[in-house]
Amino acid sequence: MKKFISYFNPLTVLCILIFLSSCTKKFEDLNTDKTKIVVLKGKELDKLFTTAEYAGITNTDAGAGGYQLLHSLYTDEQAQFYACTQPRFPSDRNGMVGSWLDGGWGAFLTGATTLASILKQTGPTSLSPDPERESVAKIWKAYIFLPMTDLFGPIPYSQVGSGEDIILYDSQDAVYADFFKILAEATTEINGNLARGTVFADGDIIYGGSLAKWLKLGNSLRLRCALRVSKITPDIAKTEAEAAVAAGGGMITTNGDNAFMSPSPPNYLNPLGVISDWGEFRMSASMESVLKGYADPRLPKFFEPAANTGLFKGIRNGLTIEQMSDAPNSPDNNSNVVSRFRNADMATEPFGLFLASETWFDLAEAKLNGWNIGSFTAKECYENGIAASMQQWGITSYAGYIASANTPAPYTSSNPVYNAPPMSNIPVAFGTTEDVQREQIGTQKWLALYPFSSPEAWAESRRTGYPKLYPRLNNENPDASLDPRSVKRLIYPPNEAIVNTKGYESGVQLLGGPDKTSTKLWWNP
Amino acid sequence: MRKLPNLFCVLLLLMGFTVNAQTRTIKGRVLSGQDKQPVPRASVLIKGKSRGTTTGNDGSFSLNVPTGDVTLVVSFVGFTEKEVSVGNDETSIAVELAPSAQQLSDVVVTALGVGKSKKTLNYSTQTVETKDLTKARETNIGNSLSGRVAGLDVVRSSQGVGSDVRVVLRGDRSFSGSSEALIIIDGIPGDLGTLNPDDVASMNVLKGSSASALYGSDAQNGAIIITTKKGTAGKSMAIGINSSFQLDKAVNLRDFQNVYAQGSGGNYLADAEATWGPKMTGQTVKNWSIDPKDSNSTYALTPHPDNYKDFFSTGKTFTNGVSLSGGGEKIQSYFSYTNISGTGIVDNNKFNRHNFNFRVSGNITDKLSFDAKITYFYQKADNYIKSDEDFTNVNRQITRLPSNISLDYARSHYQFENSDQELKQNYWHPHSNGGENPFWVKYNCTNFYETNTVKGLASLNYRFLSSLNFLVRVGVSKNNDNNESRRFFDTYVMADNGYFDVAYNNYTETNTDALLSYNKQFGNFGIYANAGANVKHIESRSLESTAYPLVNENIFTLNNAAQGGLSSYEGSGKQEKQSLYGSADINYKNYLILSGTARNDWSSTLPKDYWSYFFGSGGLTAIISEMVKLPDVISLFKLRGSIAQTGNDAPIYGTKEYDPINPGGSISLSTTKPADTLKPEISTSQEYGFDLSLFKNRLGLEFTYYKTNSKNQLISVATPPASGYQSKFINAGNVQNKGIEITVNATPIKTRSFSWVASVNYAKNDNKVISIAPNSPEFVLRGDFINLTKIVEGRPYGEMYSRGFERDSATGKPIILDDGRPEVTSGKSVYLGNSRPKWTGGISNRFTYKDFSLSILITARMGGRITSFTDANLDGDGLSARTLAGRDGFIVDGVKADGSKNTTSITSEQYWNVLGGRNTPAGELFTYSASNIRLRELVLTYSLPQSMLGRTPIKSASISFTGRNLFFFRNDAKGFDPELVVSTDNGSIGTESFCLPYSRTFGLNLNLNF
Repeated sequence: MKKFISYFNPLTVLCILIFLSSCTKKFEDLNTDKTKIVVLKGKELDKLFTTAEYAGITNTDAGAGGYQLLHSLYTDEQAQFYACTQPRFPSDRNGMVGSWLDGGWGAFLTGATTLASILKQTGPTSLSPDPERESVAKIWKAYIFLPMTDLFGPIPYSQVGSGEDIILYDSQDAVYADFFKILAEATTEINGNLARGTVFADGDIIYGGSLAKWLKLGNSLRLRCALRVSKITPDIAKTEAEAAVAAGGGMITTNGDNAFMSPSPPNYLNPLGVISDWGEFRMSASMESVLKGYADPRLPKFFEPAANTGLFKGIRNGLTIEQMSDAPNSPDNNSNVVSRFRNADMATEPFGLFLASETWFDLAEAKLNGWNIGSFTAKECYENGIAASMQQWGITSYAGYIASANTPAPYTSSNPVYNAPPMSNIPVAFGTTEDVQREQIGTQKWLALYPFSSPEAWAESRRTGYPKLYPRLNNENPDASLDPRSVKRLIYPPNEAIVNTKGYESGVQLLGGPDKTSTKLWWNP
Repeated sequence: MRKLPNLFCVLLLLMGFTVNAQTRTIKGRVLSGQDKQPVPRASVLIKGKSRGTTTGNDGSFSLNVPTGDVTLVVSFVGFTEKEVSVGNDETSIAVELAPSAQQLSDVVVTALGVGKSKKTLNYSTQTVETKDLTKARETNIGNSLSGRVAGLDVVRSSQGVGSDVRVVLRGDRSFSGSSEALIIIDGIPGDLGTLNPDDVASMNVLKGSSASALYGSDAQNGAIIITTKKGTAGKSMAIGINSSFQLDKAVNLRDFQNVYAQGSGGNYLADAEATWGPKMTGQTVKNWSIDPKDSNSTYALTPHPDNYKDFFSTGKTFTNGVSLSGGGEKIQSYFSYTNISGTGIVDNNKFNRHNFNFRVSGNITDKLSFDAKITYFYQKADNYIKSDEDFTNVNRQITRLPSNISLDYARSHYQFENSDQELKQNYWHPHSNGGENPFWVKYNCTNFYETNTVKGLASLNYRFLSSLNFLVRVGVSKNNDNNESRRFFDTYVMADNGYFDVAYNNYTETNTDALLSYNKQFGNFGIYANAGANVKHIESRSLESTAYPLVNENIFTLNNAAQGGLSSYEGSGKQEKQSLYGSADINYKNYLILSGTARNDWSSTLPKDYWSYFFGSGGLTAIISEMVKLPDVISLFKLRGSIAQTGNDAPIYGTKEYDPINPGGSISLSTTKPADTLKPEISTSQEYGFDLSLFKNRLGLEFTYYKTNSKNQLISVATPPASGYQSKFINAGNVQNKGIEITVNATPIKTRSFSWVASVNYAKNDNKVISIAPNSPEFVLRGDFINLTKIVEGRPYGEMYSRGFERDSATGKPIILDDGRPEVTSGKSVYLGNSRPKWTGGISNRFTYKDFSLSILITARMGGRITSFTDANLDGDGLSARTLAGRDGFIVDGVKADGSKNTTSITSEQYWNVLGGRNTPAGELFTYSASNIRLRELVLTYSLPQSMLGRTPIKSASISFTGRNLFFFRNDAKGFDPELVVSTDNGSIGTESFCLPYSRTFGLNLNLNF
């Protein structure tokens, strides 16, 4: 027996150990997911750029969640493209909903950090530097960060994508300074290497990688940025604007050069198309007043007649829940966005990013500022802007409109408590005083930016005071009022204070005021 | 599988050894005289010599004795010692031990399937009486455990018949992993959902990790050890038939208002989803139907108070099972088949299940025995109920039905064909974002689920010495399931142009074990030791394809997807864990028992340097009543204590960064930062307690104190989104659970014809999150429209926050805005309480009078809070009776910003519009205590007396009337059942969101044995 046990134990243990040790060799292989990429290389970077493009405009998924939270619920309503018809949404009454801000912020940063990875992998210190790809990525960086700094002020910028646990914020002036720097670098680099033709190939779903078109977008964007800082740093604004106009490659001045993003179903769709069938918004009273008063031929291109009445109708911003239940304010009695952009589950209409009309209105304002933009007069620029917008919407007969003396119409409702006189008496025909001209430029740019670019429209509305918008009917934000420009910024997403506490504190400090909607941004006069 | 030859090689080698008998050999089996079950590890000694052996798990022994007559002394704790004389010519004996009057005799199955006398254990276990599980049946046996075991908490999800069940022992401990108990069926990991209650021979709950340390990482949350039935040797064929029929009756606990119609501000609106309209007085109004045929039609506004109740029908479940059992000395077999078919309380929710079980066991030679089992499980569910916010959750839509709408009219008009021959939904608010006709959802948004599980088990046992036993076992479990969802065209928001989703999952788990047991008595000392090895290999594949939107109307096939509308998601996983383990029990005179276990795991999911991790347990049992003479009134007094450590590996694929490819080929970056220093989780637990049995076992008391610390948890913590990651894996945290468990068993009355047996259990758990991670004082478990459920440092697990009143700091009263409406906090900053119960308990009583027996189970789950998202919606839309007050105006009790008393009147519509509703409700108003006490189960059984059965082939027959969830003695949540939650994940306990109504179950059960 003793003999047996002494044989048995070592033998068994040995056998067991053999069968065990023979297998851990496979462990590393077992624990590797083969349906995903571990190390990105070569052309895979092009396909990563696609994600940086879609997510950069907060369109991270087919549900368009990020876009709804920031664009539809905040900038669309603050710019008064639309008014809210969803009873449970407080944002049209200036209410800040933390979880929405968290969602929109996260969606944007998915794009921004993806872009940071591309910049890292194409930059001078990478294993395979690629200055043209890097330059296109830089232009896209300025394009996507601009609306974010204009929503919040100081934002995570230079440290985005670092992988660290604390991401400090950059001040808004530093962010703008870097926009000018990277736009100058990128446009210079591309201009010198246009012969290369394209980069990113079909991974770029804006321009198919055309360097010539990216160069135009870079120059146009530089002018947009310059105008924004024209009151706080007029000298820098002038220098940058004139450099943008004079730069090689030109700007987006014809609709053929417009920047449109092409959806690729099923995961990336036109975000406006996805959310517009949910009955949450309708044409604003401000839109109705201007479009109807001007007899604007774009009205039926922008909106569709109300389902119940067949008429074009808008509603006031800032309705209470009870007012939303009032029949004249019901969605079916008012105009939704035109059906082209209303196709929830297969929204494949291209999404506008930067249009020729805007460049012309920007040039018109630059001219009024006394900047050197070449031989065009402010009037020519203004009228070219209207013409470009009309053509873009397929309207060929607009000469009468440009010369029209029509003024915005009063807003009338079947329930007269909502009635209001027009907010402005300016006509379409270019005015004679600078104040009128500036208001006309602001108003027409607002129309030209519809329906895609409400972040830009809201930023310009805060900067210029144009167009003149109806006051909100209700406000439930103690730091705001009925004044349509009382919200100066959005508060930081509450999640930042939890997961990036030190970063959040750095942002509030750089903001130079409390983290409230009443604190003005750096560039805001 | 390629390890198998090695194992068999070992076995064959071992079988090659034979021991030359110097003396003659006696073989035998020791059984309990009471229930004829084998008595494992009984001591068999040769009288007059301090030499002998102990019995194996099956009660058998083999002993070399000197030639000539001998007397064997057979003893085991809990039984009266017995002397058996064996004649010189006898080679085989059977010994029946009588349970000793003074001692508890229950043998419980512990880790690795080892049967041990309960009184020798150094940790707390509880055996579940299987008798009632087969009568008052639950389709998931987990539901039957509620209230029967101290420290075991059960909640279930709201998906209709066949819903998920969550079984947690001694509190939650894992941040992101599961806190659920491990289920072991015949030695192999399994699940409760696929188990046929008829096949269960015994069910034993090992609560702490001391008990389950041998199972390693998977059992750090405790384990439920289930042994299924085997054929019994030496009996003629036994046939059992079990049939039952159960009715499920939905009970409306909600209080709807039946006064006001659809509309706002007192005005009727045919397309309103809210009911702030006029009083219903029979006035004629425009019909809501949007079918052109109904245009210009009208109807009279009258309340329909029974809409909700009438929507639900009586659920029916039929269960029919048969079992065959029998065999000779060499081979025994057991076969069972059970079919369950049923209809839920939503009458197109149908359910069907087949369980097959075939088991053969026996002896090949005197030394070599085998046990083989194959089970097949098939289950399908038509139209299972979606839960929570899903717009196709039928319960969401029926709860929101305005009282002025006739249920019958909504049913007969839920769809129509338009002039283009397209099928359209008919709903009072066309294209609503959140509302659908309940019947459209019921019939046109359907879900199908099917699952197949085959399990094979084969084990060989070689007993090459009476004291030495070797077992090899292979278990393979293979599961395939598929899932389909369809949504018709014109399902608002969810599928304007249809939706079709199909998913297939394939899962295979292989367990290979080798176990060596040594068992020997040396005079006053006994040793029982095990050494074993296990390889667990898991492979899974899944494929899901979604066609959305579709082209041709309501044709549900993937090819019907619109261009670009087809997306597919694949999953694939392989993982392996290898283990070596050992355990030893050393006893002195059977009253002092020292036990220890040790285990080393190697897991493929950890980084290379951390593949291997070790843990173990130790404990001591002292049976005081056998050491010293105690007063006669004390039958047993035992002290026990143990300390254990268990480790757990990581989720699969956590060590590398993976960039996923989106449909169409674009690439996204990984959102999770991997940790290359991922360490295994370590959970340390200790428990101490005593067992006391008085008055010849008429009164028993068990008390346990435990404390568990789960450290080094592998959690994915949120990182700043700007860092490039949304989360990262880290090892951190320390969650502590401590508590007490008390079980009292009593037999207050026991006469020839009447007996009363009562059992009471109570468990209180104090949970505290001592730390989470550096710089992370919080960890979010779930965030939804209404609540944030979080883990917060220094607080118990599962804290809930929501919006609420902004309050005046001086008076604590709500702050009222100038227009008279209360101000609501903008963020979810108001603390609502904790979602977990403070204590749970149960009282079960069994009364037996002659041939009748009545058992009653009352359970309590006390403390903890639950938020009703349903209430927030009902109140926000004026559908509940609570919104009747103040319809014509009232003044909210609160103060204005300047501190003065509010004097501005608002209507209840204005009030609830601010506080209720779907998107930003103030959860403060919709949160209740989750405490409830209910009559969980009632079973009345009549067993036909033997005098009636005497001449028939029937050995026994009984008929039972059963009831489950009969009523609440107390339910603080009033409007709903707080144990029916959105889902069984960690964050959802404490959230009721459009769950199915509470339902009562009544049944009839017939049991025949031939």
